[in-house]
Amino acid sequence: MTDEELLKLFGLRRHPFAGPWRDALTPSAADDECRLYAKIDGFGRALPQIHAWCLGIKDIEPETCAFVLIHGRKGCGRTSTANLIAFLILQALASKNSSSPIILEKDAVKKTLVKVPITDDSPIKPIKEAIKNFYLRLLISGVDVRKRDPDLFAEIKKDVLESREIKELGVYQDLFIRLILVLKEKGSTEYPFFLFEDLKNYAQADTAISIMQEARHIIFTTVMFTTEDSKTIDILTTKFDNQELLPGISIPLAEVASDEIVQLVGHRWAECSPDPSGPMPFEGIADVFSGTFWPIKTACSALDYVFSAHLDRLRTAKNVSTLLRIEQSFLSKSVIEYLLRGKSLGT
Amino acid sequence: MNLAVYPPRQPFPKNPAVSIRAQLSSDAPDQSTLATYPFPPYDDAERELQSYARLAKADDAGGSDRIGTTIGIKGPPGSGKTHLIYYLMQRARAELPQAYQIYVKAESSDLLDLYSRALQFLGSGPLREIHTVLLSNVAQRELVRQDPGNELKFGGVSQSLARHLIVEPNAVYNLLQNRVLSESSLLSARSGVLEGARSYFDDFLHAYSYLLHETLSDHAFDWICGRKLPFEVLQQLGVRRDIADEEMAFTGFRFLIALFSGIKRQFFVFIDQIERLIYDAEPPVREVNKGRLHTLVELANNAGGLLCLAGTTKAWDEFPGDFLERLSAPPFKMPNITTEQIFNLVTIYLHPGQMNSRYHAETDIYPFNEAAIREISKIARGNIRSILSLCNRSFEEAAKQQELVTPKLVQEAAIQLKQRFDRTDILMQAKMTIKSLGLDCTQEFTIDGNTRVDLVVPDPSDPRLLIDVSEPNFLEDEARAALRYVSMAHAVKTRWPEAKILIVEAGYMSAEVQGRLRPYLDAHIVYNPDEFPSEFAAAVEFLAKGSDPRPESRVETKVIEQQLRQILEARASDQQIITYNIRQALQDDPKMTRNRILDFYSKIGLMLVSLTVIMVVLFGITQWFQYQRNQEGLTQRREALQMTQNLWSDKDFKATLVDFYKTADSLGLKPSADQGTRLKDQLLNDYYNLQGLLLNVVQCAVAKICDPHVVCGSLGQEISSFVRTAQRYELVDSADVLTSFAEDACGISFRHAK
Repeated sequence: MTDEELLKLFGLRRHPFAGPWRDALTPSAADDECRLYAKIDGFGRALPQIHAWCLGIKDIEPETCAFVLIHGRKGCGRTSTANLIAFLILQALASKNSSSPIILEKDAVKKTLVKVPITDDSPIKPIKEAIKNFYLRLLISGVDVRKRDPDLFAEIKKDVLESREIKELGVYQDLFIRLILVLKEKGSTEYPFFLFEDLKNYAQADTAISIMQEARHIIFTTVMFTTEDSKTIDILTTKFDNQELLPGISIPLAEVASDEIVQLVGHRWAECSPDPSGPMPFEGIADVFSGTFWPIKTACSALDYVFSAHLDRLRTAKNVSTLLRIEQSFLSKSVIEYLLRGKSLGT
Repeated sequence: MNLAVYPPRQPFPKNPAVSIRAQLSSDAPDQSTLATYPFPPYDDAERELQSYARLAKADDAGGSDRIGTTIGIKGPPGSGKTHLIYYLMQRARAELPQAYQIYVKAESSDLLDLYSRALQFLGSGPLREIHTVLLSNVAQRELVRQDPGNELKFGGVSQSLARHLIVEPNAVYNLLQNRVLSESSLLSARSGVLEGARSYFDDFLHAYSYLLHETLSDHAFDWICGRKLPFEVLQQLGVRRDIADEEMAFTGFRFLIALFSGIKRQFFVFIDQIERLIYDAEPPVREVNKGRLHTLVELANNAGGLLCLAGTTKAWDEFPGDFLERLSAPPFKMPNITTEQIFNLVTIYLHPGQMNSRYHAETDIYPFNEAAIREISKIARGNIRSILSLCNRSFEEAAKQQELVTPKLVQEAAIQLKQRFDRTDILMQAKMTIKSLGLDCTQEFTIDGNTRVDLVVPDPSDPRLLIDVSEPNFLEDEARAALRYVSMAHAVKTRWPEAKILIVEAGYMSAEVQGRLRPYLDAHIVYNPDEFPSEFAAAVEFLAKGSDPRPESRVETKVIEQQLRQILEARASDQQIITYNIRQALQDDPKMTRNRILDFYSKIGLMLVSLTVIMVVLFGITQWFQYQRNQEGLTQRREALQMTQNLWSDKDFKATLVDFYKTADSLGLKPSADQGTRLKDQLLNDYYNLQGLLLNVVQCAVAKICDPHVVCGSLGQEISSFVRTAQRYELVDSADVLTSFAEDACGISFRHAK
């Protein structure tokens, strides 16, 4: 049987866990991905605040720097939330001088957001990575730094692209400002968004803030941080509360409990099928995930694994009708198998 | 054993001290090959060890509390303390194979050095394992804490995962990767498991977190071992500073013991030569070190480990009563051996590889005679190290003319040993020679806080030549020394690519080890008192004032290290048979041995006559072959030197390589930024490091080339030119490697293009 035929057995139009759910969500006005955001716990409570804050961005001084802290465990939807905020800010800024509704480009967020994954404790290395990724982002969007400022290109090549060393902060500060100036000179209406993913310590946030604030007099910049480091969360949140970093917002994301996972499955199923029951035993899901809280991505990936394994079973089954429901034991066994796997599904 | 053939090589170690190496744990002989040592210290120490092992096993079974033990060993130098430790380590491995073992010999009063070598002995693999088990234990607590049993319904997975971690600690990384657990909360929860963890463990907690990091794991291990790291690497690891002082090194010891305790695993720490911690220091440091040893004993005891301290009797007398009370028993004293036992000892060394060799007749100790052995016994007074030194020296003299070792030769050897050259003498001569050449030098220099070098010319800020005098070596020691020099060459070339390395060999090094070491050294002099001053002066003048540096052999290093390790293992195997035989021999009844000696005398007359005739003939033949070999070796050495010098000074050769790089560049074959920089550096600076360079070039090219026609063009010509150049200089390996690689990758035959 083909995948389509198998899915039809459950009345599904598509795989309930495949597609955009497997990666971080990136909304755009052209599709309905905003609807896929599960309005759960911290994120659910913070959503009105996020909307209001993003909308307020258009009223602030044009040349400033906005700060966002998204904290919680990996897999709780931090990157999806960052994408949503970038999208909402872009929408707010675009509609600033327009009376009619603005439709953003499909890839507006992907084109604008500079992601900086953090892999160790160095406070300066993320800045170097930010410059490298920013330079590449400009290149992709048609800003040829090599032609516009050959000296700057030569220095970036020497100190960032080809160098394995980590130089002093001043070197990167200078390069960053000059890159921002290249963007500004282009007369672009683009606003750079930086997402420092998974800060290990506060020093990394501090360094990024000091560098990024240097650019605020040139162009509007948004700096977003994700972290699960409690010290970093405390310090940054205090700074937001004391209005030392303006405008700034701190968004906590929590894990989900088993009943929320059940709701999530219902939500996903409803998106893909007119029949809300489906093969997943809701009580069984509640049991398997009971007793603790789970990052939403972990729960979704585990259920994705279970459902895909179930489809595999069906593909070779002689009598399909007896296997339309997923048994409790299969569910439990498959979830454990997935959680102990070496590599996450869909990543 | 009764065939009296003159030994073809020196059977006795020049430096008879037992060496214990890091790999001991993995290749120690199994229990069946170890006989019980009859001497009281062996019995007593083993009894303590077994008592500890029994308690440890009971603890594992949940039957008793964790409790540690401290054992002391004392005796004069050369009395076999290290030998006993070696024996205990093997027994410990047999009793508690899962336990961790550390052996470290104090070489000075420097606790940082002691700590660094202790951690290196343990190795990065076990450290990673320890940290993994710790994380797994913490994860189990987190999973159970999150999932109280009474709230569980059918199918709840948290407890299943916790149970799985008990049998498979590595699964903790899958749980982290699949986000079942939070990395930051798991790492911060570690300190709760470590007893005595305080804020000063912060740096250690950070560094250990990176032991399994994709790119920083080696740096993390280096930091933990006390090696100096660049500031940016410290920042990446999240540590504030290097382990640069004794206080922090001691914290490192504390942390390690806390880890052992945290994972509830037994451990053995053997610290040898503790007198160096005391007598090599000024009185204030001496007291501090004594205090630290005291603390270490308490920490190890509380953590349920076995600590074994060995040192001279005088050093033990320095410790106060309350320290000695912490030991499980008074320090075990090493005894002297009897004349009868010396007969067996000499027999064993003369017949390496033969199991259960014992003295039965005088042919067994040929070329020694019985009187010589009695003379050795008289002079050495039962000290094993002295006995072996005397045997070595007297054999050395006798072997020149393939003579019998007589009491007279033994007496002469004893005089020579008192006057013999040692490292200090050689270093003094070396320093004087350097000064006479108008050069400066600095003594005792440490590279990156880890690798020691005897002399640096002119000074450590700008070293041009690094000189090390090798300890007298034999059997496994020579391969170990060679491994150390390979590592030293790497450290030197990394920091100072222009610096050169000269080794003065004061002991024994076989041709097979020398051959493998040669690519790493700029010069290697075998010490000879008569020729040393002139030979050394010529080498220093050449290396310190002129000559291009030898590059580090990047591609071959791992292969060479592997080969040296194999030699080391083979040597160790011989050494283990000898060790086994000695132990068996010392069990034999001396009276039985004496009867066998008397029995032999009735048969000896006829045999001696036959032997003398055979010996005279053999001696003549051996001498002739020796002379021929020496001549041949000298010629080959001269030719090799000449060839190397020609190659180094050949500008065309360098130009060809540079052209090749440019051609590759112009064809757009420039590899990634990192590869490109590395490649360019190699081409322009290390142009004579052919094999590594060419492999890199071709690898990069192959990675980029899609169209074989491009290769057929000018790049093809350049590769052909390379092959020819390499062949001209008889660098066959490099030419073959390049040719095969290029042919396989591009489907073009360069062999036809020659």
